[in-house]
This record gives sequence, structure tokens and C-alpha cells, in this order.
Amino acid sequence: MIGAEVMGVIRLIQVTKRYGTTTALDGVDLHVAPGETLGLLGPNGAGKTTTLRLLAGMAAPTSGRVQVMGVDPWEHPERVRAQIGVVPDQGGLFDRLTVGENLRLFAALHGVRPAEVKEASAAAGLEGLAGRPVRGLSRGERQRVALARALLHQPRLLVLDEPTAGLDPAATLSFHQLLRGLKARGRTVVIASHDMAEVEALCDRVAILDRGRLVACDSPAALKSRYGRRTVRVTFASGAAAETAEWPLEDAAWVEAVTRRQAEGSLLAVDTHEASLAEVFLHTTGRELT
Amino acid sequence: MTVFALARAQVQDIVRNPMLLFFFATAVVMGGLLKATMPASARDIMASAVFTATAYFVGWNIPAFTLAEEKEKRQLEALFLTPVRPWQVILVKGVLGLVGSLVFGAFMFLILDQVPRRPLLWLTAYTVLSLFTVGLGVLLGLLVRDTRSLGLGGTPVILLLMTATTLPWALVQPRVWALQAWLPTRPAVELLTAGLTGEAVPVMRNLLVMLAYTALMWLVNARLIRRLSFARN
Repeated sequence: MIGAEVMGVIRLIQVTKRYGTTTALDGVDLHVAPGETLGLLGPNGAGKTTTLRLLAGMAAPTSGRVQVMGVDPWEHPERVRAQIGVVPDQGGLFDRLTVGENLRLFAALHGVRPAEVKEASAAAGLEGLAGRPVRGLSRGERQRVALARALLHQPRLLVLDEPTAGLDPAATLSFHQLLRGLKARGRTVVIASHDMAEVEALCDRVAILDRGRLVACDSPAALKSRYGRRTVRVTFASGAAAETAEWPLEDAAWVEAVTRRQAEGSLLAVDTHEASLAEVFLHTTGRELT
Repeated sequence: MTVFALARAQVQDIVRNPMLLFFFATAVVMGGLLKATMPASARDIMASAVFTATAYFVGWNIPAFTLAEEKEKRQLEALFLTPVRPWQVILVKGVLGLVGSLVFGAFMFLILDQVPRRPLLWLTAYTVLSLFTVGLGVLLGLLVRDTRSLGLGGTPVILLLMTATTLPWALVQPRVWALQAWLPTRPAVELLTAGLTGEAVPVMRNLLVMLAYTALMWLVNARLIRRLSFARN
């Protein structure tokens, strides 16, 4: 645990994970600094969940090294799990128990005081839900209970697997607000998602995984600047209709076109178009994220 | 602390399961029908069959069903992300299966209006049978993936074990009956009947046969329990 701040919260060194003949992760190197929010972006089967399972000590790497706060999670799962909170893609809640009973059970298993239950409930926005059976909750409410459960023991690292999959827009927004609050309090967060808007909105850095390989990892802005194309769109009148032409930002041709259309009096609008993470994904993997 | 918290949550989960009400109602109806329709001469034999059924259904169902359901709903995975150990989870399920089986057995005495002639022998036989059925439930729960595979794979095993040992094979095929003395369940059924009627049976032999199978079952379980968690702890 000594030197964890210097070493980073997470360190994956040339990690490969195979299930039989299937390679889920292929030589992945990854580093996450304290307080950082990292998004793992990729389609189903890209290796996101496998990465999270390795971090939580739920699977052993076939080769390479995994370190969470300087500790190998497979060799010392109890030491890592004291520092890590996991929100799995399926909550794993006991649905015949109430929200409060679920949280009290997991608080007791973590050996934390009952007062922590209140704190975690408040952090996950569960006020008023304590007496309700889990089976009667909406998916958004269940995800918040799973988040509260993951926060009970005050983990330094929070790991979330597809946290908003299947949530309606309001529940998604509410969950994002909770995560921003946790990030503001300095918690290190890793989110696996195939929702590009979610990753872009919440994460400091994005790691793009494709077929088990890490194909890019940087801030959303840096990725877009490196792999995406900023363009200029010029809209002009052509007879009774409006037409649009588009050039790369660095291409001087658009300046000429704007000058000419302005002189003709046909210029209607000039817009710049930011590259999206979808374009970055397409550029780095050669296919679209569906 | 961990075991008590697990046990409390497990009891809360079990008592809110509608299946429990179904079992309870079935046992009451089954016992009531037997009491009302069976001639007095057959009651002791049928009572043994009822007690065998309660030991099986309660003893194997609690660990087998809860394990299968917790695997299916990824609840076990969530538990193992805490400092809880697999053996603690199994211990709780085993104890609850045993206690549940004993409570159900005692309740059936009230329904059947029976008084055992050798209560200690009955209790010993019922406890050993329950330990066996709980062990069987744990084994099935460890092996299956979900409640569906438990229904498909586990139920036939239980029905085979029960019917093969409680039906009157002695009248049909004496050699089968003789062989069954060395297989699980029939020795316990003999002891249960002896506990109710006071008839003489080879107590030590029957107890040792059942204890041997029970010990074997739990040894296999002990090996499988270590593989239940994803990590080597």
C-alpha cells in the first residue's frame, strides 16, 4: 500500500486474460491516478467487464500484472476489497429484503458502523427508501442502492459496470449527478460503458477497448483532437434552396469560399463542427460503436 | 458478527419467499389427509414417509434453492466482494436447513398427532437424515448454475432418492430392499419408524451407514466450497 499515491490507484502492466481459446484482454497497459475518473469505452466483448473483474480480484490475469493501490487483487483480494467499491451491471441485491436491510447486511459484512449506512444512503440519494423492498424499486433506484452499498466502507476506488444501462433519461441524469458529486470529493472512479455521451460527460480520460486491445487512452478533448476531424461548414443560398459545403479546419479552401460567398451575398452561415467520440472510435477501431 | 448478519438476512429472505407458504400448506394438507384416511395399522409407516419427505424437502431446499437463486441473481458475487468467506455463507445455509427441517419435523408431530415410543432414537435419526439432506442440498446448490438447472437436475435426484427408499420395495423385490440397507435414506427411514413404533432395528449399523454417506457428502462439499468464491481466500 506504501507509495500508492505515487504509483497510481490502478496499474495494469501488459495484462492478458484468456478464457479458453477466447482472448478477453490482450497486453493491456493502463494507469489511473488518484482522483481521476476513467471511462472504459467499447462494445460488448471488448474487455471492459473483464478489466473490472481483474481490478476487483474476481479473476486472475493469464499474464501480466494488475495492481490496485500497489496490491495484487488476485493474491490479496481482502486488502483490495477494503479499498474498492463495485457497482456490477446486475445489482446483486437481495430483492425480498428492504433497502435498509440490504445496506445493513453489507455494512455488517464490511464491519462498518450503522452510521455509515445513513451516510452512504444520503450520498446515493436514497432518503425515504430505506423501508421499501428492493423488488418494488425501479431500475434507477436499484442502481442507487447498489451505489450506496459500494460506498458503505468508504472505498478510495469506485468501479461501475454499465451503471446507467436501461435507465430512463431522468434516472441517468440523476445518477450522473451522484457520480459528479463523488468525483468532486476526490474519489477515483472507473466506469465501463458503451455510452459515449456518458463517458464524455463524466470522465477525465477515456480508454478505448476493442477486441481486448487498448487502442487509445487520453482525455476526450485530446482524443478528438488526435483522431477526430474539426471541420468548417459553410451554408449558402443556391437559388431558392440552401446548400452546405464542408472543409477540414486546417484547409484554407474554406476561407476562400466564405470570402467569395460573402462577396456574392449568398453566405448564410459558417459553423465549426467538433469531432465526436464516435468518430474517434471509428478512427481507432475501424468500426462504429453500436 | 458476519455469520449472524448473514443468518438474519437469510431468514428474512426465506420467510418472505412465497414458496415457504406453499411448502407449509402442502405439509399441513398432506399430514391432515394421511391422518384422516390411513388405517391406524399403517399410520406409523406413513408417518415415517412424511418425516422423510419433510427432512428432504426442507433440508435440501433451503441450501439448494438459496444458493441457486443467489448465483442466478449475482447476489453471491456481491457477497464475495465483501470480506465474507464462502464457508461462512454455506455454514449459515446449512444451519438454517437443519433447524428448518427440525422445526418442520416437530410441527408434523402436531399434525399427525403422533407420540414416538423412542423419542431420542427418532430425534437422532431425523437429525442425521436432515444433515444428509442439507449436505445434498448444498452439493446441488454448489453444482447448479441457477434455479432452472436446479429444477431440471436437482428435483429428479431428490425424487429418486426418496421414492427408491420409501416405497415398499420389500413387497416387490426383497433383494432390492436388502441392497437399500447399505444405500442412503433407507437406514434413516428404518430408524425413524423404530423411533415411532419402538420396534427393534440394527440402530448402530443404520446410523453408521447414514453418517458415512453424510460425512462423504460434506467432504465433497468442502472441496467445492473452496471453488465457490472467485479468489483463493
